Amino acid sequence: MNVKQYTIKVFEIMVDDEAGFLAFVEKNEVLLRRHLLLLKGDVSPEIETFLQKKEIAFTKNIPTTSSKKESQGFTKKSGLEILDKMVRSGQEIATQKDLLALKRINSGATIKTEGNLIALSTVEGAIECNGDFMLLKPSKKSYIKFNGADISQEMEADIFYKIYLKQDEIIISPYKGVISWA
Amino acid sequence: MGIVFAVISGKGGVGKTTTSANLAIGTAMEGKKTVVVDFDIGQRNLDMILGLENRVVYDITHIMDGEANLSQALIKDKKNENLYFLAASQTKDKSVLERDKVKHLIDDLKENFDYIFLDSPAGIEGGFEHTIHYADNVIVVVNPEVSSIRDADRVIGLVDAKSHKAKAGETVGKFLLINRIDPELIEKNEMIATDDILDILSVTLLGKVPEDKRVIDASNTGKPVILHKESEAGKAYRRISKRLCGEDVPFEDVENAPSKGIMGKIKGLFK
Ligand SMILES: Nc1ncnc2c1ncn2[C@@H]1O[C@H](COP(=O)(O)OP(=O)(O)O)[C@@H](O)[C@H]1O
Ligand SMILES: [Mg+2]
Repeated sequence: MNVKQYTIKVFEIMVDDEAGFLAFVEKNEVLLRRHLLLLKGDVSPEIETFLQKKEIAFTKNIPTTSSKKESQGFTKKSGLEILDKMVRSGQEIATQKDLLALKRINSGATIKTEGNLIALSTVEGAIECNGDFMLLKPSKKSYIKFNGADISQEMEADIFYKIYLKQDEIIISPYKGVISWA
Repeated sequence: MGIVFAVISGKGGVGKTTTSANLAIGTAMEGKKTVVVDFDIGQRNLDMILGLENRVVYDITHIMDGEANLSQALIKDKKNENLYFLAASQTKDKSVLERDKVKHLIDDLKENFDYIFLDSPAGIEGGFEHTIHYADNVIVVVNPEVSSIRDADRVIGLVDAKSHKAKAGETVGKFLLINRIDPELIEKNEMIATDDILDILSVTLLGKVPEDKRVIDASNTGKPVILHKESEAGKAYRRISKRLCGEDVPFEDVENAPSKGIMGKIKGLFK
């Protein structure tokens, strides 16, 4: 078994509205203190002082290492599997491929993918994804492991997150966009 | 050809036996020739809830062993000529159930009855597997609380994987009965709402049965709650029985206590 150790967990945040951002940090202070914040967008001196006062580590506007080179393409592995049935308690789905899960993943269910994972409905079960990329909406009950690291405590319930690998770091970022297929 | 309903839950003590007894009586009242079979071998209590414990001579294990035939073991209810009962053994353990013999028994029952209810034991082995194996439909009983819902989710998955019909590519009817809905706890937000349960389990709602003290009284007196005219749970079981017989009965709002009336239901109206 090949277990990689990722020590630093990075939170990537786009600062587009300063008041909103400060409120977000205030609310998630405890959580954020355990991370390195990777700030993008407009980072004012006020924000910097604020974060320093809160003892939250951050870096800003690192040029996004030519994202084209990175393997974030969803169907990178040996194909895409679409799961259009809900996964019930006691059921386990394991795949080497990328997986698109359309329905609920219930408490007591397990999903394991070697490829990437997108889960569109509520996740209350256990997820183990060893791909490069994951998009899902955790809940209070879910257990989420990404490339061997338990990241269950790093996310809030009921919002979508993008989680991906960047060199040796796991980047967890709230997904604000609207998910649409058009 | 009769229709087989397995009454299942995963978790114990949620109301399978209560439901089996009341729905068997209810459908018999609707004119269906009905039999209810206790598959909880070694822990029988359906006979008590039906008030028939002193009539049991032969039980399901005697049929399995060839010591009695079906007509000897079937107990006919004195009050309702459409209703029959087949008891579980209180002494022998469930290993006496063999798949071929269970199939043979259920085929026999299907020849002779319109509706066949199989009261399943808790858990996911033995008697449970026998009840889902030849079921045309399953009635999943849940209480509005987390562990019951999760166990129900598990057994629904097993029905899809293990039932004879599902294996043959046919669909097994799956229906949800939410039991012990307590208006007081709903009000205090301490109970999982029906919509959320349906979201999680994604099966058709058959009915909602409120918490009702008379259910417990009934199992002591041997007079099932469906026979109590004033009992809210009894009324709910009567509505569900009608639905099972094809009648389109609207869902009642059992989440709100009837005594409170409309004024009590409008939240925040009187402080
Ligand atoms: N709607 C209800 N209101 C109050 N008590 C109930 C209700 N349904 C079931 N009970 C009680 O719960 C207990 C378990 O019910 P039972 O039908 O034996 O469950 P199971 O067969 O699933 O183990 C019994 O004591 C029964 O009287
Ligand atoms: Mg029982």
